[in-house]
Amino acid sequence: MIYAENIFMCIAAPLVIAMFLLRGDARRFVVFFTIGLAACLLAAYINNFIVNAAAGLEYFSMSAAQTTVRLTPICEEVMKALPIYFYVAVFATKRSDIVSVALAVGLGFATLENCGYIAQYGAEDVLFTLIRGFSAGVMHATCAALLGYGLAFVHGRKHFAFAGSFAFLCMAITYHAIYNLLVSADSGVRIAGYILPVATAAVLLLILRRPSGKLFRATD
Amino acid sequence: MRKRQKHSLFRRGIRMDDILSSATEYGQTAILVLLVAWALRCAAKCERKWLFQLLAGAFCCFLLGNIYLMLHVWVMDDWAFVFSPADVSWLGLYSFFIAVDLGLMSEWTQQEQQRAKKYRRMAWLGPAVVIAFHISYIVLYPEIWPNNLVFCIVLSFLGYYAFLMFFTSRAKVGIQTNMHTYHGVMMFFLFVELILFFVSSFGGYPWILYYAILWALTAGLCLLVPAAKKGATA
Repeated sequence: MIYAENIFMCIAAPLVIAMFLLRGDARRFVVFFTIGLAACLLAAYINNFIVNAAAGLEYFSMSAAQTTVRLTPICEEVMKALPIYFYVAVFATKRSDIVSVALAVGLGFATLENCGYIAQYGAEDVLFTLIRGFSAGVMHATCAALLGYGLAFVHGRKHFAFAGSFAFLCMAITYHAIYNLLVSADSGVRIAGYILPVATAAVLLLILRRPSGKLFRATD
Repeated sequence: MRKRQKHSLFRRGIRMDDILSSATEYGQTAILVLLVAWALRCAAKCERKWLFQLLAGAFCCFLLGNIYLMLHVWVMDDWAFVFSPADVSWLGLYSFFIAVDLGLMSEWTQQEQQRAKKYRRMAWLGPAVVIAFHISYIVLYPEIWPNNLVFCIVLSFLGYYAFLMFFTSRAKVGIQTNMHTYHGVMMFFLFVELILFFVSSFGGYPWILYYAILWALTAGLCLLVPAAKKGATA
């Protein structure tokens, strides 16, 4: 049993104070980082609720492994996407800001999830904490960045903004599900899962740093 | 949505359908990787960059869904049944295609808009076909009706826009010049997709038919890029 709400309050308290002291981009980052923490907490609640609700239905009942692979990616990515959609719909004026906000939400989400894991399994093993940080942590940031770049791409293109936003969310969900599937394996396939997020992030960085990568860069 | 059907060709050992299944899965995945690269290359060169970027996104979604399905069999030793993240990736694929159609519609000239008004009623033929197919799935598999309903809604939108764009682009006037082939290929893709769902939902068919349809679907995807290129560079 971990007390996720307590961990959330512990991390969020100084951030809430910092929101009043900071200005501009720094404040926006802190606000959406905190929202990412809250999204993680809500995703855990909703995930549990759906699993319990589905347990009563013969066809939709799932084992713990199936839940991790089938339901968790959908629930977590939707919870991460909602504040980003809200920002894009209400506040966004520059494309580069959308990517920053998406990354902040993703990092906040990853932070609370990692804290929960450490509270549950302990922080004695350096290798475990490193793997956790570079796999799940980077994966959440990569998924959020993918959605952020997608939303930056459709921003200002009103005709297909809705369909495009939904499509990029679907892409992030499937990527997340592939990661969960790989790390839930018993064999050496799990290592591939741990490497996947860092490899994807490296490929994304390489593409964005190349001159031809300007196609995908969230320029204004 | 899709479901693997097991049929044994040779009762002693060799399962021909397994060989075909692997060839189809790996072949389709390799083709999709190439299609993503091709679409991105076209995006770097052509004027309508957004069109090819959306197509690359569509292929990427399909690719991720395929990878998920293959890994699920490998890791879980079981076929992923609905509602799986692979279904989500296919919904993403259709959404990207809808986005392409909506993007093209936004570039219509006044002449094309006038022309489209004539075909709006005919375009309802697309959703009608999609709904007819999906009613049969829902009747046959009532337990997974939410999955079929979601697919029905998204595919109905795609059907409507595919039919509308196809009829409107027939005149070869305005910005839609030469996009007729693209919309024709999109209609072909939609029809093959519906047939694939139909075939995989009902048993008692020659097993090779399932893989033939899967390859027809892949061929349809392959034709989308040159068809879009033809229209975009016209």
